[in-house]
Amino acid sequence: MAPSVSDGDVVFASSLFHPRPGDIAIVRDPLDAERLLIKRIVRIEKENCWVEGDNKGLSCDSRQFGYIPLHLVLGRAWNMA
Amino acid sequence: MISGIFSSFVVSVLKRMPLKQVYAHCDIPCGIYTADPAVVAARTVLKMVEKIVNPPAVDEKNIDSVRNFHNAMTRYVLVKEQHAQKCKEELLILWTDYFKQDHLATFPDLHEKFWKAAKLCSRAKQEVSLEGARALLAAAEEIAEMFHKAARLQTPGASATGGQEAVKH
Repeated sequence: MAPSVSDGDVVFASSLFHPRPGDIAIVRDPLDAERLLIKRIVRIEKENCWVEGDNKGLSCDSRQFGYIPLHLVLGRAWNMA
Repeated sequence: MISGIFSSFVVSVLKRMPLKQVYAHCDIPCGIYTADPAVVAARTVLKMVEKIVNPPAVDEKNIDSVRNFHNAMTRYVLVKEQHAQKCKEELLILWTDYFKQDHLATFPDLHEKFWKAAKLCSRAKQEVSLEGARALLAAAEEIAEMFHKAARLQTPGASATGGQEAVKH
């Protein structure tokens, strides 16, 4: 997610704020339920959303795993760095 | 300034709390690789060395001019250091994660090329050397060419896009 988010950064996330396209969000990895990802919401279509990392060359995101259901989006995130 | 201090305080408090780790990048699950970051980092190192050996003019009798000179030089060195390290890290990802045993048949000197490139990354940090920075860029570009060739062999008919290629492995 460089340069928006870098290794060691502390992010604050809240489920009270529903992410909108353009927001950074914490999402549950659709390939590994134990793992949390931080990605940018690109678009929302009905009950699913498309997420991508800002560092396109090194991000595994919807370009690989497709749309993810909205219930995997845990909340909007803000970088506290 | 106050908001910066407050933000630092908040972050220091948060870091003492149990935090959950989140991931921005995954490597093995999707295996997307690209040689671009290593080459860009090496180009940045060369650019910083060029700026260091051709420093901005300074009026030693003007305190602001002296401060700005030292600030500029410090930043050039800092960016050189950061990008030499980034170049090394990106090369190590390709070396350890992308290239496999089978590739040695096509690139018998693969390990030596990566080892020498890593050494040049270290040298770029330790020295201010145009020769060293140019050698690092040449080494990174040579590895990028190996990477693109390996990708073409992996996907017959695909063409390398001269630095824009990301390969799924």
